[in-house]
Amino acid sequence: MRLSFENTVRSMAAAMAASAIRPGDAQPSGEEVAAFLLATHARMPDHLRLGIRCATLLLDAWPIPTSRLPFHRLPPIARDRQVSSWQRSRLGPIRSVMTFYGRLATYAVWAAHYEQRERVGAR
Amino acid sequence: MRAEMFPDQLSCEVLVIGSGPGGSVTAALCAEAGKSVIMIEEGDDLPLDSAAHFSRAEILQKYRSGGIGIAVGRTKLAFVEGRCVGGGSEVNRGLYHRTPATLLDRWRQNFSVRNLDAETLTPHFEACEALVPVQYLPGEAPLISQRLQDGAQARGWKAIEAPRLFRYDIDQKQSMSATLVPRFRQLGGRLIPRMRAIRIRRIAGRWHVDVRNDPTGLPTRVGSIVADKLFVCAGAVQTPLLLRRSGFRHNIGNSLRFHPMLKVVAKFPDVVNRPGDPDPVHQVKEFEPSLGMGCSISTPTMLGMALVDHPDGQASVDRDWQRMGLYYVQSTGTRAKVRALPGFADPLVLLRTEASELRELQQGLRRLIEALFGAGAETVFPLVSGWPALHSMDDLRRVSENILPADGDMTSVHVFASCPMGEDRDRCATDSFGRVHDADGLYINDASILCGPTSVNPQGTVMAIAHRNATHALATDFR
Repeated sequence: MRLSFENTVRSMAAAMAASAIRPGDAQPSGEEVAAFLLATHARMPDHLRLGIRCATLLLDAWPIPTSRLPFHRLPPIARDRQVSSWQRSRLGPIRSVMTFYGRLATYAVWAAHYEQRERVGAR
Repeated sequence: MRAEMFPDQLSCEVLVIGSGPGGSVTAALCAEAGKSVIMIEEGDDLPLDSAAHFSRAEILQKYRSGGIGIAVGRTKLAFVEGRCVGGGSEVNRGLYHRTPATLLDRWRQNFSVRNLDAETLTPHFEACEALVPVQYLPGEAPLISQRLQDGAQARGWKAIEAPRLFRYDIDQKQSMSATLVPRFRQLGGRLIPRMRAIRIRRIAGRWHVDVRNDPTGLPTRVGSIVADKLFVCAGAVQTPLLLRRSGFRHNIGNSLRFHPMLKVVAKFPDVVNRPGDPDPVHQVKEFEPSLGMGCSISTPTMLGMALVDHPDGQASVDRDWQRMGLYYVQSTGTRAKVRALPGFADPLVLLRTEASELRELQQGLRRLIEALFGAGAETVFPLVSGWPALHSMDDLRRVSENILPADGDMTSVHVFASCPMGEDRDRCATDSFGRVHDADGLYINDASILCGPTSVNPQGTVMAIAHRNATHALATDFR
């Protein structure tokens, strides 16, 4: 039952891409969102990077007591429910981490859609 | 991976750390004077068009820390820095102003800066403008920009159209990579990208700078560059970080300032935001030096991102973005300290904000919203926690004045004044011309040495001050 930072980010990205308000007929790719989140994390100030990594691993471990599975191995429905729960958490640090990932995911969803449209000349 | 040593120890007369506006001006002037000059830059050497402006690729390629910079305190502020050849000039919009004369007078008086006023700085502005063209937008400004002017004029507020460091005849931004960096190279200067300065030391009358390359895709290499004279131009956060790590601490990194900014999205009844429109250029000057207002880049992506806390507004962006614009108000409040963290490469930026400063920014937000309703906006979405979408001035009046900006609300694209210049040794890190007090041949020549916020877009000031100081250093043979 190993925790995994990268797989947790991928799972979170998939959940956020699916639930984000998206532009038009956008079909956001969870993998594309995850790639941006991971690339941004790799470049963050190193003290923040460490904090986010630790918090993310904590979140990966969070469902283990009840589900016996880390977050990144939860089925998609359970995963989406968990993300939604964290976003409404009464714990400020949890909400802050979710806000951090949520804002980046939102940007990635919208940027991917409009950059794609520009590439195909839709504008 | 074990680091390799550089095969050669590099040596020069003048070493410039950082290739942003301050560094590029400094390096080009010293090369023009016949000095052997090396300029190192931590970021990559990329063409202007390596990535679309404000795209994911640009943020990852050209912004420090993937665009993530946070000043922490009781309130947080997000800021950005450039990290590439040309620095911030590669990622900003190039809006240009000369420093207001009254601001120079205030700096001269409050920091005892010798020979600093509009008259003495004018030749340096002119010299920079001759090398880095500044142009007004030919023809009409985009409607999204005109709306701000319309709203300001309806209230009798002064608003102007700002020029840009841009050549509209060839549709090219006049960043450092397009202007002074090529000039520097033509004059025989050597630019080394992807090279970070780790520590500076004075050994036997020369400056030794320990450097390490950016190892991404390459072996890690370390070494040192030795120079007679050293200009640190790494930006208002990285300059004090390097100096403090090297043991230079007197008034270094204690007075970092920003232009804290709040934003709104305004939706108009008609189309104001068309594909291919030029960048907006109008700014409201009525409330300067305390407050400034302008229009931000308003692509659908930026609008969608901005409205994340207004789901109804966000859901309408794809359909209505051409009726929407992103606008900002900025102040000159807040101050911060830059500190090195043991064991970490990146600094901690500690923010201090007074309640009065937050109130001033909130009042500025109200004025901006007033101007936008005056310009005919049907809805204004304030990007401030606790503020609802507004449909009228009555809605605005119902918003409590006690809802002050909170975490995540304030951003800044301008950072300066962390190592101010002047003869007042109680307040200043350098003398009146950027030479670090009590350090022979060590200079700071970037936004760090400004004595405070410029109130206007700062690149013009940074370049002119850098030109002034480098000219003085050369004229006095660095004495």
